[in-house]
Parts: sequence; structure tokens; C-alpha cells
Amino acid sequence: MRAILAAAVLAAMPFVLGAYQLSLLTGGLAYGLMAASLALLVGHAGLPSLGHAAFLGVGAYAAGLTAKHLSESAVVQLGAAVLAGVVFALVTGWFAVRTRGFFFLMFTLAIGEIAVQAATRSGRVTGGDNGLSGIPVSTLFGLETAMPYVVVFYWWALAVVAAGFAVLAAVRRGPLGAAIAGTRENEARMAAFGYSVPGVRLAAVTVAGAVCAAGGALVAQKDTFVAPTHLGVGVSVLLLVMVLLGGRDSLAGPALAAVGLIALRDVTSGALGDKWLLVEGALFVLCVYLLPEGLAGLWRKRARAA
Amino acid sequence: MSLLVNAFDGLAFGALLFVLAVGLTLIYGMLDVLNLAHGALYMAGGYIAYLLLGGASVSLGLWAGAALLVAALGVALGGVLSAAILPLRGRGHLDQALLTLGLAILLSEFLLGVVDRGFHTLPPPDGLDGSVLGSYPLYRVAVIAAGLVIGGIVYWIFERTRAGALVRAAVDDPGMLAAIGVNVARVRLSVMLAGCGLATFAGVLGLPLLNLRAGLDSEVLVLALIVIVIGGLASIRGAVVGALLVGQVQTVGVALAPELAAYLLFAVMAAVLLWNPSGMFGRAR
Amino acid sequence: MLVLREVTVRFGALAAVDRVSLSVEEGERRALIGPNGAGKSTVFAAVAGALRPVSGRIEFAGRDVTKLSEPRRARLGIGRTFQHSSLFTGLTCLENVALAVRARRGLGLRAWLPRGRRAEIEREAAGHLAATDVSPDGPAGALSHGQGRRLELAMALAARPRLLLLDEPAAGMSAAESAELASMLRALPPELTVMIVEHDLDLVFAVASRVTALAAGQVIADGTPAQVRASPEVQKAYLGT
Repeated sequence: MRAILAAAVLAAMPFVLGAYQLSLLTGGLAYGLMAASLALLVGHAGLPSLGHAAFLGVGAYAAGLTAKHLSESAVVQLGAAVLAGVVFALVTGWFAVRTRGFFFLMFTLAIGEIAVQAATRSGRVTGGDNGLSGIPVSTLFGLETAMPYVVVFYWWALAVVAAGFAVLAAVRRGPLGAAIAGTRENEARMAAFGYSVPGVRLAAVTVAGAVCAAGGALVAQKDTFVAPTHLGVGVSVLLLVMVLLGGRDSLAGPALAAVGLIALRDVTSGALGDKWLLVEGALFVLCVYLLPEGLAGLWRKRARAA
Repeated sequence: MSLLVNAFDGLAFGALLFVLAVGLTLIYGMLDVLNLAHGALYMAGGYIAYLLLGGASVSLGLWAGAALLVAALGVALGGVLSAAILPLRGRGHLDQALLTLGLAILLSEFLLGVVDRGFHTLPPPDGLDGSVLGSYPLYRVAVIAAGLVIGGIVYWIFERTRAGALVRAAVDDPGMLAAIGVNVARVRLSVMLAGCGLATFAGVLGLPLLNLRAGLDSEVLVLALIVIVIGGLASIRGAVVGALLVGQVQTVGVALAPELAAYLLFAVMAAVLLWNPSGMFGRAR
Repeated sequence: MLVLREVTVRFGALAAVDRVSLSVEEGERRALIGPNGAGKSTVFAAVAGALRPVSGRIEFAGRDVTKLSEPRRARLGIGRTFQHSSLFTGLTCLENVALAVRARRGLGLRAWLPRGRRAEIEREAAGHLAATDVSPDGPAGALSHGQGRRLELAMALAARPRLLLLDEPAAGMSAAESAELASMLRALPPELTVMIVEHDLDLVFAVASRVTALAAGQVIADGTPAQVRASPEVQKAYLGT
């Protein structure tokens, strides 16, 4: 119910916000979806990934390359991004889920950096260090000819984000979500029940990766540009800050944190420039010390107290 | 011939990685803390030495003095890290690792704010700036030698001294050590301080090899972590083998197949994990 | 139902289980007894598939399962409880059991289930909880020790195993709780094969139809409870004389 209300309010935003704020909100929502997908791994599955940006990047490159060489349809690009995310999740996840705890963290961090190197060195395909530029503007069912592009693209992004959230929420509530939580809490027991623990984890990584890749497609379509830094530790850490700030065991928390952080970064970018990263680091440290369950935890505590 | 040069470069790079990774792996073994600030400590070592020495070629004595000073600073930073982690005991290992990551961002961004985000480097000190065998840079040979010396010292401490025996025992079974009346907290702190000192020292050692720049911290951290994933956590032998392997992949591998080098690193890591999910010399923990 | 042939499990140089052979008939109630470190839990882990033997062969229901993974064996019908309560403390008791029910029905990895199927699974899970007298609501982490042990049992039974391995089910229970558990175990369906490792010998002799005694990784006696109780080797292993 609350989700439908939130979607309705968000859908009405083009009538309230100007083009610039709308574009900012579009980016915030895309990052919100990706942060929520990371929360599924970190909080729900207990798999602390430090390489989640790789999925963003894989989705973004897949969408951008599709746009340049195959189709200008936003839907086709999204499909390509999700497919690429699934394949990337299966290939890297197949190894990653055999590790646990810190090894998972290290492995995912390494995969993210290797992905950066791969994107940098495959210059003929990806544009190398300079990034993939000249991505054509996506077509959106022809609606873009009738209305301002920012507005149409916002609605498109909102639809993708809503669908992504629906997938994440359904998975969390369904049998797979219970199995994922089960492997987080007690591997031995899950194996004794007949669950393949690596299989359950791979499913979690694949769902999170596919959803994150969808968010990556939105980033590529919105900016019409992808760079190797999109895959790197910096973005992974930003996503993690969103998750920590919003709450690991929540979907809405990280999403709200993402919208807030993206807006804050934009507002302060003139004054702070690269010093934004200091703010990010400070937020990171403060969250770990003061908000172990994030803002969602504070919310729940207040709800219990009332 | 040029491959041989690459292999030698790989040896030097591996030696540097070893100095960095051995502290990381031992800190993990002793404290159960994955110190994600290790890359930032390396970077701090490099930037502070760069600031101290002014980016110019200096005498070997001055250079060594600066390196020692920087290592001492690393020890102090290790103390700060230990104190920062203290309130999080009992809150799970992930939170501690995340805290070190947050502090790492603060440290490296502070340094980048003091200097700038561009490329900086420092030439080797006088006396080590020449070349041997015609054209091979002497400094790289010196790095290999430094790696050997540090490796030897670490090995000696571990295998031949009482302090080392305590650390080994504490890695195996912390409860047992406490039971026989050893101050485990002090052993842990020493390892943390030494590991952080080695990390900043590695930053000085690597100055003439790797340019200082934004992003250097995560780059070396990732390489050190790959060393540990390959070698296994809390294993000195693992750190040696992992560092040498990564060093070769990053030099010979890049020379042979520049487009594939990134995947090669992944392939090596994946192959080792398939063989033993805890790394070559790792035990399940 | 279960046959072990010369099974050896090593931890480094130590043979925790040393050429153990035993055979359990369908519907049998077999107890494994022996002093600490005798290898009882290791035998269980080898049968369940959590540990691989270095040599020997394990057959279950006429099939060689030595090389099968633990989940595969679970799906063939080997269920177990753990020595230390091994619950999903963050989940409700009902959800603890429902995980087992869904796994058995092959629905464990479905992303979504229709309302009817969900209700069916919850009903079945609630039935298992009622049989072991555990309340379905509330987190499993909030249970008392005795209730936790019973929830363990409910979870293992919910997988509807053909062979049930009970690893010290009465550990830490009071005498009254232990007696209650004994009557629960006696009420298990007769066709279910049960193996039990237990230090509480009263419980063992109340439940077991046959007893195998282990010491230092080897079988030292095998027979009816009375025979094993009278065996001089068993006396020696327990009393150390």
C-alpha cells in the first residue's frame, strides 16, 4: 500500500519539479534501485559485496553498446543490460559464492577492479580510459516526440525502478528469500535440509546483479556516457554508504538514502568538488559507529517505542 | 630477453606486494580484522615521504631516514586504527572492516586534499638510481633485496622467536593463549602496529615504481587482497607465493597479452579458489 | 537401510573414525554410545555427507552415497539434528520449519508461491510444531533451551526423512524434559529409521532397539541394549579401568 502511494507521488513529480531537479531525481532513483539490490546481498544474504558497481558498469556498457550498434529502443537496451548482468553474475558468482565472509568481500572487490581494468584495456570496444561516448539518445515508445524528453525519461526510469523494486520485494518475501536468509543464518542446517548453499547464494547474487544492471542501463541512457570508473571501488563504496545509511535489512531505506545522497552531492558539488569524498568517508564512519541498522533501524525503533 | 626483464620487474613488484600483504594477512589472522585501510596506509607512506623529501633525488641516508620516520608514522596510525576499532568489538567482523574502509577514505582524501590528485613520483635515492647489467634499474634490484630482507625478518620472528611462536599460537587458538596467561591483547596490538608500519614503509619503497595519484590506495589494496585470496589468510608462505604470482601476472602477463591481463588475474584467483576456497595455504576459518 | 563398510574419516593425522562398519535395518532405533571423542558425531557427519570419508563406503537404501553431497543425501531422505541447537534464530519458529517443508517439496528456490500453496506449507509446518509442542509464533532465538531442542526435532521431521540422525537431542535438558522427549521419540512412526547419539543413557535405553558402542573411532560392541551394557569392553571404555 505504502509502495503504491510512494509510486503515485513519484509519478506526479514532473508536475512539481523543474527539468533540472527531475533529472537529478531520475539519477537518484536509479542509484536507489542499485543500492536496494546491494542491500539484498549485504543485509538479507549476509554477503558483503565491495564490487557491486561492476554490475552497474556491466549493465551500463551493455546498454550503451546496444544503443550504439544495435537498437535505440530503451526497452531493448534494458533487456541487453539485464541479460549481461545475469551472465556476469553467473560467471563471477559461481566462484564468489564458494567463498564466505571476508573472502567474499575481497573476491568481489577484486572482481570490481578487474572489471575496471578489462574496460580500460579493451579500448576498441569500450572506448578505454575515455569511456564510451556518443551513445545515442534512447527512443521511448515514440512518446519523446510528444513531450519533453526529461519527463518521458523520468517516467521510464520510474517504471524500471518500480519493477526492480517489485522483483526485490517479491524475492525477499518468497521462498527464495527465506532460503537466502536461511543460508545467512545457518549454512549447515540449510545443507541438511537439502538446499545447495552455493546455489541459493548464486540465486541471490544473480537477482541482485540483474536488478543492479537494470539500474546501470538507466545511468547509461540518462548520461549517454559510461566510463570505467562506473565499475570501480569508488562507486561500490558509494552504493555501500547508501546501504549503511539507509539500513542493510531494508529496501526503502537504502533507496531513500540514495536519493538524498545524490541530491546532497549535487547541491554541494560547487562548494566541495572532490572534497565530497571526505563527506562520504565521514558519513561512512558515522554510520558504522552510530547507525548499525541505518535510518531504517531508527525508524523501526521509533515505531516500537510509540 | 625482454620477457626476462619483465619477469625481473615482476619479482620487484611481487616483493613490494609482499611487504604490503604480509601485514594485512597477519592482522587478519591475529585480530580477525580485515584492514581495508591498508591501501590508504601505503598511499600515506608514499605521500608523506614525497612531502618530506620534496620530490627530488636525495642521498641514500636521508631517504632511509625518511622511510624509517614514515614507518614510525605508520605504527602510530596503526595505534589510531586499533583504538578506533575498539568500540566495535562484539559487533561483528563486517562492521570492523567497514570502519577501516571509511577511515581509509578519510585518510586518502585528506592526503589528496593536501597535495593534489595528479601524478607524482620520486626518483630513487642517490646510489640506487643507476643501472646494472647494462640497463636494468638498480632500484628494482634493491626492492627485491628489501623484500627478501623483510621476508627473512618476518620469517625469523615467526619461526625462531618466542614472540613469533605466540603469534602463531594465537592465530591457531586465541583461547588457549589467554588460558596460559599470555596477554593476547598486547600480542594483537603489536601485530597491528607492525603491519601498519610495514604498509607505510611499502609506500615509500614503491614511490619510484608506482606513481602517486588518486585511486592508488584502492589499486594496491585490491592487489594485496588478491595476494591473500590466492595465498590464503594468515599465512606467510601464502603471502610470498601469492605476491610472486600476482607480480608475474601483472608484468609478464601484461607484456604477453595486454588485453587479457585483467582476466588472467581473475583466472588465477578463480582457479585457486576452485582448488581450495580458503586459498593455497589457507585453512577454513 | 544404512550400511557403513570400513569407513574412515581423518582430521589431519587423527583417524576420528577408524574402519567403522555397521548396518542399520529399516525401522530400527539404533543408538551410538561411547565416551567423548569416540567418533560418534563424526560418524553422523559422514553419514549425512557433511564430512567425506578418506576410505570406505556408505550405502543408503541400497544405493552408494559415499560421493554424494550433503544436500543430495538430504533429498534422498537422510535428515539430522545437530548437537548444538542449530536454529535460524532471526526467523519465526514456523518459518524455521517451513524452510524444511519447502525444501522437501522442491519449492525451496521458487521466487514466488500462490497463496494456496503458501497456506498449505504453513499448515504442514504448524502440524510438525504442534507434534513437538512448540509455539509457531515468535523468533526461534527467544526459545528456552528445551523448546529449542524440540524445534530442532520438528525441523528434522518436517523434511520427512527415511533415516533420522539425532545428535544428542537431550543435551542440556532437565530430567523431566528428557523424559518428555523420550515419549516423543517413541511416538515416531515405526517405519522411520532412527539413529541417536546420546550421553543420557536412560534416554538411550528407553528408545533404542539396538546399540553400537564406539571408542577411539572404532566399534567396540554392537548388540541389544542389554548385551552392550554387559560388554566388558564397554565397561572399560566408560569406566577407564
